[in-house]
Amino acid sequence: MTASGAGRRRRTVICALPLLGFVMAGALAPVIAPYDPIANDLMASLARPSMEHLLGTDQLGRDQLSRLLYGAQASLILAAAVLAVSVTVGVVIGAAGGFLGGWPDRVALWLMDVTLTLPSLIVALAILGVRGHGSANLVLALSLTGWPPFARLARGRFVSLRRSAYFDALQVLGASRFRILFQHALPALAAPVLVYASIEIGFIVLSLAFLSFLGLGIPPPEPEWGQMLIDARPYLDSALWLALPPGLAIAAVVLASNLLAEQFATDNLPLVRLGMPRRRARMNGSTAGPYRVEELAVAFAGRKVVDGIDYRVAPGRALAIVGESGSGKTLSTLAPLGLIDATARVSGRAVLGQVDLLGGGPAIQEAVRGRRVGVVLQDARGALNPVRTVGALLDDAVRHAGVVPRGRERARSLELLKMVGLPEPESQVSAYPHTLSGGMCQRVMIALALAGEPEILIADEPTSALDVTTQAQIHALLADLRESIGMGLILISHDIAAAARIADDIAVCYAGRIVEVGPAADVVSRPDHPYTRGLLDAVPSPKAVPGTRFRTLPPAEPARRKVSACAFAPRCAHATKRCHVEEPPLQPVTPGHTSACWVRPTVARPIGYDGA
Amino acid sequence: MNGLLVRWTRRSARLAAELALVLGITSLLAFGLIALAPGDAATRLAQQRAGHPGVTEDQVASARRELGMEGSIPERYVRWLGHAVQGDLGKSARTGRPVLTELAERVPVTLSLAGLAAVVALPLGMLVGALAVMLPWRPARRGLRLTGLLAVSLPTFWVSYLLVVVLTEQLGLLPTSADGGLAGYVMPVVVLALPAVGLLSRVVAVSLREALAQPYVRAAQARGTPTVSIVVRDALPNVAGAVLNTIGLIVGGMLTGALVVETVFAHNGIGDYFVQAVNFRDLMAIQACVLCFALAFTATNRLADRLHGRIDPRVSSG
Repeated sequence: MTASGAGRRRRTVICALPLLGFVMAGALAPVIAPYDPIANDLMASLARPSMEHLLGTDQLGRDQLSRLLYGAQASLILAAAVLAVSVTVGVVIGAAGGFLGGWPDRVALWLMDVTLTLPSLIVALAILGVRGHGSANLVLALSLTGWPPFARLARGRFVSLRRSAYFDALQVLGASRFRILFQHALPALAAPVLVYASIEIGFIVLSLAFLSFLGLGIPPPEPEWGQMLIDARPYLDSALWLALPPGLAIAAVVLASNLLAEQFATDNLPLVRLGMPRRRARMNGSTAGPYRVEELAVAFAGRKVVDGIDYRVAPGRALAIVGESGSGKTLSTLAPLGLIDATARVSGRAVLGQVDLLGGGPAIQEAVRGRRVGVVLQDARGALNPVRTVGALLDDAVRHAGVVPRGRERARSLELLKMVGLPEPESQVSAYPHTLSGGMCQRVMIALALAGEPEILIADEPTSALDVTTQAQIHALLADLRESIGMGLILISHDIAAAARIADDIAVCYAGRIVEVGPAADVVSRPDHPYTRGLLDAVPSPKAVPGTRFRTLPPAEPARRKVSACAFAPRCAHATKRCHVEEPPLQPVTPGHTSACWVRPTVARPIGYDGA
Repeated sequence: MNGLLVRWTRRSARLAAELALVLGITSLLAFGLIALAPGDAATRLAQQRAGHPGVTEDQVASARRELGMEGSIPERYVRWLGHAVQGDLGKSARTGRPVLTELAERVPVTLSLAGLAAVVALPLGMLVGALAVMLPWRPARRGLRLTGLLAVSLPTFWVSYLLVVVLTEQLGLLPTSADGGLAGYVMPVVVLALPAVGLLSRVVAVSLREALAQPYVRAAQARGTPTVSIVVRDALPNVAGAVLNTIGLIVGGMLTGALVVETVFAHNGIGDYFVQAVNFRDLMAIQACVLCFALAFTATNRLADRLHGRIDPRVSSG
């Protein structure tokens, strides 16, 4: 449920509006203010808002609107001065640290860290207390703690520039370090500095009001928002028009800054919903049977990304679903379990034993997850909570699965770790995930998925972030486990060759449909669909003559799918007219092996695996 | 047993070294503060003591001695530090009494105000923040978010004024000063707690959203972990870490708030003392207050770091 880019931009603009108003009011005060802000007019003392005085007058008869506008000017001038000093100091310190590296960088970082932890207003007060009032001291006092964000920005920019190949290239071309620094790093800083400056404005406005309250701000009679609030104090119950406008003006500017700050902090953060806490539903009919998924469709915002997928896994069998990224292979296995984005619309049937996972609502899906269906997700390291030990994670999983009596969880956890071949399980239970290698993390993930003794294990690209040797080990482990436990396995992979070594059956997924399915050996040795053959061609073969070029598929076109056409036709070398106007159904190739292609190139010209 | 003793000794030695470093830096800062004063601080102090600008050489010399401004800068620092260690932080130019005595009288007032505010703000801030993410109704979530941000955006003294006008002057419900007993604590504590609640709620909300977006939350869902367990075990450590990271900001906000609240509601705490010292340019008192604030501040920050290390193994190991 990430917000759309346009929506975010609109909200940013709305947040920035009060700040823009503040800057305009401050800059244009001398032009648009109807009266002199410090001219007394005792005849018009404490006048209510009227056409003459839009916001009324104070006890000295001074026009409040003019004072409000000039007050903005005072804050604006102070903010500009403070920001000018903070930005300059910050950029110099950050740039020096980031560009020089070594000890200057460490000193710069230390200074930033120390300054950031200081309470800014207390520091400002101490400075003003020692040095006395006056605008120069005011600027000094507020800049002293205001520079670290800018230093951090500049440092980041310069560090990445120094480490970039681009910088090396420019140096090789003979550009001086100094010129590179000015021409390439500083302009790129302008935008983020502006953002941080607009966030700082709120803090400066609030600080100035606070300092005015303590008698250390801009001295009266010069108009200033904080001072206006103090002047209005005796009339709070009789002349509310004096206190509200400056108070609301401060609130609006500061709130805008805070909103902007939060907007940038949470940019691109998805909103995740958890299920409401509830008692777990008990499931009947747990007699082991095949897991059947039929006519599964998944749509996001009306766009179908999975469109009528069927597959089945018998107990103890292994099915591999292969295809490229975005083909819908992950969605088609996780959707029946309720593990995809809450905004998705899922339809179809997913029957495990006698229960339809898609017919019973989230309670049924929750009851199945972890107990009857285990899931191993991509990126095992990210999927392990970094602040919990391996043992704690496993104990929880075992407890929630409810397969062993209370108090016996740890023994079962150790058993699981042995099963997945983790070396020295007794010492690893107290390890944190960040101390484990990628392969070990994946073994722990598999152990977690096995905690509930599931009938089906879904492994979603379980080797995607691992090196080749570890990949082979994890694949071998999955194959072993399937055989020894006798559970069904669904392996999701983009590597058709690896899938063929583990799975009994292979389903090839393209653009949200299954285009070919059959016994693994059959599909790999006699691929029928041109897409399957494309996937096989991308597998390097040890028998190939050195220098042989891979045959690769042409790149995918932007998804502008026609409703009635073969989705693969635009990339297919064999496509005919019919392929572009009519969608091919799955048709038998040999018994148990079907393929959705009009052309059937296999029939005409058999091509074997290994490029023979 | 022996190993435990060695570890304990090592740990206390490290703690002592750390403490010495912090104290050293803090004392340097407080000492250096005086050097920022424009003009001759000694002349100024002599004038403040005499109550008029015309002062004799002797008076200036004695003021110079009192400020520890004789000799080279390292010499001065060592002497000042020696006095400070013995509890001699100089005399207030305003009242003529030893600064440390005056501070000691006032610390309990501020501590009780800030302590009460913290007791109110911590649970309330966490609750508001969590609700701002978890509530199923979007307008409610947005409302809580805006309320939290607004709470940190209003000038505290203005909020104090509004409370006084409504609750004391119009409704006559609460006394405005410390003389009113426990009732006199209600408004200052509310004003102190308000920005803390706002800040905490936003920190909790943002870190909770971050935590729930982590892949390990989906992984926990995938193995059927109950929602309560996900929130408590997977999300809370991240949130607690974020809260501990902002303890510095919260304590700083409390100190700043104490200045305002103690002035408006006439509580004789350090905040009030600091404001008077600043307005009088009472150098010794300012120095002592800064030292006192810095100690309170670093102590809480270190404590927060320690707790954070306990919760998140990555913080302590690297």
